[in-house]
Amino acid sequence: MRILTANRLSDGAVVYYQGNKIWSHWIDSAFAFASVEEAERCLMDATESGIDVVGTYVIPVEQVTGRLHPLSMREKLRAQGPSIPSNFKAADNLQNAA
Amino acid sequence: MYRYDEFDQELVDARVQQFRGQVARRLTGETSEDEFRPLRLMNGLYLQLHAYMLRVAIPYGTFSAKQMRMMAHVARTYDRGYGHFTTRQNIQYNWPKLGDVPDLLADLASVEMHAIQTSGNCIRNTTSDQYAGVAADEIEDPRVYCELIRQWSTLHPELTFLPRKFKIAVTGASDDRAAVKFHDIGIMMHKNDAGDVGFEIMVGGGLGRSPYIAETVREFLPKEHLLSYLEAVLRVYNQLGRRDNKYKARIKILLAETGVEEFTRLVEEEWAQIKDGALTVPAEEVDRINAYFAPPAYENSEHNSELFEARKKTHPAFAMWADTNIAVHKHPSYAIVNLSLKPIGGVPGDITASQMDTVADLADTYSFGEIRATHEQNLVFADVKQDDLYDLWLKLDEIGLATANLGLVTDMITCPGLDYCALANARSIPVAQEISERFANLNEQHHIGDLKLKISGCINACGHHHAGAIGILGVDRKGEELYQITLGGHAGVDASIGKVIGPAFSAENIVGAVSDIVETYVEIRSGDERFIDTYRRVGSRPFKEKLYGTH
Repeated sequence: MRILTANRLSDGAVVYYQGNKIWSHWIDSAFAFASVEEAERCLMDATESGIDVVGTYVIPVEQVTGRLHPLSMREKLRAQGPSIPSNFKAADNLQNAA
Repeated sequence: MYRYDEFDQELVDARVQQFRGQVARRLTGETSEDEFRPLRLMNGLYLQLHAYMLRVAIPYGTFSAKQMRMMAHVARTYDRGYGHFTTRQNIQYNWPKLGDVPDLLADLASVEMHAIQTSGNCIRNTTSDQYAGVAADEIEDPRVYCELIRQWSTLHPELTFLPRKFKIAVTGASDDRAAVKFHDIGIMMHKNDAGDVGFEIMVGGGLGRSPYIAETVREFLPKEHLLSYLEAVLRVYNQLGRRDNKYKARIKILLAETGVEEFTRLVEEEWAQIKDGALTVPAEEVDRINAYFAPPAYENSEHNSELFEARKKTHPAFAMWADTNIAVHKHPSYAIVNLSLKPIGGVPGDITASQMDTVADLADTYSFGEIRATHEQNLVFADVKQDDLYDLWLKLDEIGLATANLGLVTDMITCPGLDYCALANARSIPVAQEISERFANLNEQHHIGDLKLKISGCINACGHHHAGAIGILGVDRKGEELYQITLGGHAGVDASIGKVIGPAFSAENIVGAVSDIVETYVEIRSGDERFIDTYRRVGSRPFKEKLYGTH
């Protein structure tokens, strides 16, 4: 199973292709292709679907209890964010307090 | 410290305006990503895993309290309230939005800062000894020559599209604290028999997938020829460096393939054509720049502080901090203070906006308003009165920047790794955090003593793992993060490259492996022998036996 991913132009945030020229933050809303070939056929359409994404590519995923999970550590971290959240909490609190 | 003249300011302001237009055109779709990418990289803006990352230049790691407050403002206004100091003595922001970057750069320009040449195949920020100007073992302040290199190399048209990135480090001291032998060009100041000061020029050092120790191409270069000689080296590299293969494009590969003798001959031949020309450094220009680095107005005491000595006797925690985090100053009643950015369990090199503001205030109060960033991802106050050390320690402790671990096992260089970096194969920061927690007991750390541990999340070696007495390299094997250990690396004048000790460890086992190595060292060391010296004496065998049970 494959999905398409990219980074959003405006802030670099990770996004996934939902189909119909729509990109979403949520991996579970990504359109899942049955094969690499199918995903790659759609890659051009998705890439041209707007100016607001950068670096479109195909990643392998698996479906577990109805949810999509990337297979590689890199893509897991892209989907979940950095694995060191305590640092952000401290910084975000500080920002909110300012 | 150096202040911009009208040319510097005009150049930086013009670059901000230029980039503002480039960003606007990208956001409206007028330019493509392929067109925009080299432009943003020329302004230090990378696209990483989750966001853009902006790398801001700090020439030779020296900056003012005012600039630190601006760094705090940037962290609060445009990022997530923190910044990250790097091994090139720069600062990185991990979360800026593309549309905000022109305003961010304009704010930085207002305090004489920019992000030019922090990326791309050009001469990057020239780094130096963090104790420059105050070290007891220094011949002359190397920052004067770093500044000359900065001015010569900034937007130098011939050096804008080199085969690959290019890094220069300069030290004026006998003890190499700037890892000069792991640079494309390492420059070390010497005094010859006649008492003249000049430079040893070393070329072809580097880490990455092919680590090399730089080779000396000139034992002694008179100071006035520094720029012409560097230009000759760069010209040879520009002409002959491999542009066909990114992994063989650094000057270290050229030097290795050419041989040091032939490479030196080529440089000398090139130099003969430009020596004594426009690049000869005028003595008055050196004097002008030197004036910016003139020592501050030290209080005229010639004695060590009795108060400092008394406080150490009554406050063991302060004494412990003084033992590791304070270095000898050339003035007898002053000290160099290291601010550890490696709190136990923290992210190495990270600092929050509020910590930055307090550091700026403390720099104003205690160290003439100046701060240095180190290549080991810490900060330095270079000029603190010994009488003030105890008060400063209390205030640093309040904001979590007084961990007494400088040069110890938890003072790790750590790259951002797979948590942030688009090139990484494995995470580095969580490994560093777990090692830090394992050695959280400061008494144990002090008992272990001087030990450089460095972690990289991929073979590009941004965490300098090859130069660590213990080096850790994160690799990806079929989707699993594994960690390979090297032993015996060292970045001093007696530089060495670490050697792989055996098969890699899983994320679950890497901390235990490090612990085993350190415990073995403590068992077999002779007296107060440092880890690196024990390793050089006994080799890898006792460590291998402990880790793998092999003989």
